[in-house]
Amino acid sequence: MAKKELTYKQAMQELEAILAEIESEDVDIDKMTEMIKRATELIQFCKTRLTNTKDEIEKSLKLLDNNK
Amino acid sequence: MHQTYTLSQLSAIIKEVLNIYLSDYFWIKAEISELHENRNGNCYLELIEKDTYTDKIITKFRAIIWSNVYRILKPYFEQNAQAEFKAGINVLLKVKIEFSDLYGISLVVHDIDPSFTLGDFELRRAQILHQLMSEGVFEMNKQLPFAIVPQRIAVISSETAAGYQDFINHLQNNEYGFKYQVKLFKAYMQGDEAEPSIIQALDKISGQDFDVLVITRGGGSRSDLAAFDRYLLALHICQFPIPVISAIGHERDVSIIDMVAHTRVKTPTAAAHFIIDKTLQFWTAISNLYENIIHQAKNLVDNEQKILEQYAIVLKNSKYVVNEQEYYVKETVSSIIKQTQLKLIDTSNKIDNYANSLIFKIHRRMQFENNTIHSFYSNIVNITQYRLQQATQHIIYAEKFIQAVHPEKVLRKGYSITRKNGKAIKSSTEVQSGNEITTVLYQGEIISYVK
Repeated sequence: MAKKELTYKQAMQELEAILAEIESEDVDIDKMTEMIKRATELIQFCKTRLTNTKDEIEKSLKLLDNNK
Repeated sequence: MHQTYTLSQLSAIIKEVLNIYLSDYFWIKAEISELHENRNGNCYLELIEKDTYTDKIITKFRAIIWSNVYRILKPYFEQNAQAEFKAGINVLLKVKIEFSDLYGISLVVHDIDPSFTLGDFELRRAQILHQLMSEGVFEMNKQLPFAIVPQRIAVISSETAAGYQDFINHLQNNEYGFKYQVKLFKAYMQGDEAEPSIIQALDKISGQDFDVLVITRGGGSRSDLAAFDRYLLALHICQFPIPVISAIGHERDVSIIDMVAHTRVKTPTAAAHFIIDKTLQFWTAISNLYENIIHQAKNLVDNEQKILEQYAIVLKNSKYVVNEQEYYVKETVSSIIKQTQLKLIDTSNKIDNYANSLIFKIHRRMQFENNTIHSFYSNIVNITQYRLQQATQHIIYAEKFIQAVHPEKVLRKGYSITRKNGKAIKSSTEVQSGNEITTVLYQGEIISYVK
């Protein structure tokens, strides 16, 4: 399901919506499974994104430090 | 018969007649032909009158001046007539006729008029002078140049005269040691022979080489001066080729010779002094010239020396000036160097200051920029980290939440899900007896029916 067009922001919004729905406890278990599955995917996406971002930033900062 | 008288009777008659008719005073003019003073101081005279043309005596009287009168009259006359009272002069006398039994008629002199005698002398002299002048010779001897140094001297005098000796003594023993060559030409200096003998002497001298002629007689001599008032002698003196000094030696009279001579002095001594004075004048002039020359030369040398000294001072001063200038130049140069150095130092300091200031500013600016950048950097890092952390937290929270709510986990704990027609039952009211329900466990499912 993960699409390449997905942004971190969209992912976070979707994740937060899922979490809110789950918290409402109106969620059907079966549905819930799927929701959780989706949430897990989103989390994985975000984590990866975060990790990648962190790496990118550190790389850039390292350049700055080297140029100091 | 003739009446006869004795001499004394006659004498008495004459006396009587004289008393009656000639008792007054008479002023008479006469020439004194003889003069005699006796021991008592009385003066006996012989008075004469000459024929104007023949010069023969035509009248003669005896006269007497009593001593009491003579004592007064003689000096009075001599002083006022400027002539000696002596034989040969014409006089104007106030007389009274006396008759003596023994000596007959004589004239007693009571007074004398000196102006008559003076006038008489003057008249005769004036005639001679007039003649000399009209002949143009009067000034001739006076106009002769006097020798600058009169040393060859001719003298006309009588050898035995005291005046000549005085002259020689004074001349040769002068205090300056001047030497003179004196030659005496003898002549009679009084009496009738004086004039021709003096003229003879003059003739001898005029052929010879002399600077001056001195005619002199003894001083104080009362003898006859008539020779020196004679025309012929005066004419010779006037025309004499060398200057004549007359020193005839009498105080009162100025004779014609005195008048025509080049120079007249009163005494032989004065003549000597005159000559010595002339020599002395020359000597003094020479000495003055000598002193002048020395003085001038000295002055010249002194002046030159002074000028040289002044030059020396100027030179000395110029040395100071040079030194001063040199010092000034040195001072100026060192001042310039100092100023330049100061200026250089100042400029260098300024440049350094500028440089330092610039460096400082650059440093500050760079530090500031650095700080800014650093601050940006830190902010970026912080914010980024914060955001990442935040994001991570969110994710972790979501993950945990998801894990917590996962049905598997609940089921594992013994919980189960009851479904009717596939749908989870949350209340017992949803089912009725006989309905098939499926209980989903952690592992496996149980199908049951409601009672």
